[in-house]
Amino acid sequence: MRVDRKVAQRTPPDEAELSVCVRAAQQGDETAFRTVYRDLQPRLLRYLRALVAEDAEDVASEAWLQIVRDLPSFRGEYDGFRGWATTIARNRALDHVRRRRRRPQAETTLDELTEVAGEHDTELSALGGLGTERALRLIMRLPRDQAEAVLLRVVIGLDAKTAGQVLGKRAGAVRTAAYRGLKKLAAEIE
Amino acid sequence: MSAKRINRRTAERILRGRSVGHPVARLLDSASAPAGADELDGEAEVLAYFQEAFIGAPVPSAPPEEQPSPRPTSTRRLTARVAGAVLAIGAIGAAGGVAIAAGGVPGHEKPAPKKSSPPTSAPAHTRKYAPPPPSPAPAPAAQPTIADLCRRYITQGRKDEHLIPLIKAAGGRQKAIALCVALMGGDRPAGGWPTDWPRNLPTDWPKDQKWPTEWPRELPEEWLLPLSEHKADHKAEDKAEGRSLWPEDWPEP
Repeated sequence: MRVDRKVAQRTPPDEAELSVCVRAAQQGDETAFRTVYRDLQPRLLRYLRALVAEDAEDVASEAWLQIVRDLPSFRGEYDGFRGWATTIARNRALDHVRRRRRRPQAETTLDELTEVAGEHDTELSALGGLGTERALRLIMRLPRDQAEAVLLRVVIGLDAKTAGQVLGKRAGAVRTAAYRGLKKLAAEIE
Repeated sequence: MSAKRINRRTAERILRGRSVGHPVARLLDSASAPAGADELDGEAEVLAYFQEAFIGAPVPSAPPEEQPSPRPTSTRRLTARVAGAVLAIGAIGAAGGVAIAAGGVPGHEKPAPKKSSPPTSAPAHTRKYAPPPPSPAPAPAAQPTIADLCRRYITQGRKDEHLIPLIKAAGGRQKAIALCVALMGGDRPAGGWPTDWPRNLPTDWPKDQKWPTEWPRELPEEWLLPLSEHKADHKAEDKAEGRSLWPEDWPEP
């Protein structure tokens, strides 16, 4: 199952290749892990920028450490892996906001997350490409449930069911939130 | 329908990336554009951690000669299995493991002496949260496989006398090793399950058996943490992980 370096260098690898890469990475194949990282890290980073703004890189780093540590326990294909990794990243973002606000016992709500991210919109300029930056800014103007639904489905690439698992919602609720978000985006563009 | 109107079907098509030309689709394309170089800045750090976390873990392209399992095995799981193998081999030797292999109990009921098992835990690097220093990763430490431990105990071990009945019943050392590996690892032996195990139990069980008085010490020293340290370590780990946040639907780490 060791992944050929040619596969790792070809871009972008398809889902089947990435599933193979996940399995190989679980057994210690560094090349395979690098392929998975290069596919997923930019997605996680963009999603995390919507949650914790300028701290996204730190949170992503923490998330990857946990992903690496728990990698052998994961079972499933690449779709599931993306959802699993995104859940870890999201939980790390929640932890991060709790720590930053020095309220370790308080329940952090998603509204708080959105509020934190909204204070630092300009930090998105760190992202490469004005088009990407502008697009993400527009998405982050949406209500937080719609923004998260759109980001999970478009940027991370999750299906509605997996996105629902990440958010703790039903797939239908995610579909509805994403649909409303897209309608608002369409209205803004027009 | 106007090209810019959006209904549920269009939305779903946009979300799945199959809608072309719609303004929202173009915007979402921008949002999911290929990664910029700065978005992969942390790669070296994460890869260094990956290398450290998987030191000694089996790589499929170069498996050990008698690797007991092709399944992905974490260091922690491997540690537990190795420890289990050592202890169980000791038990087999002490209580007459042939009975297990032959599916019967030869009336030899003397239990293995109850000794506290050596505290084992995962190597320290599996519990690290901070990224490793950028210095080169240390050389992988040699970890004994279950097969290695079985072989050592059957062919070289000091407790060889306790395993003689097992070896006799198995018809040879190699079969005894294969049986130990299968019993301990739960995996099918490389040559398949033995079909020619003796039906009759041996009658020459040693009468004046010298039962083991201590458990094997061959495990790497760094795995043998004091019990208190072991517990404290797990407490710290649980706290750091924030397990309460772990989603119910995902596999436990």
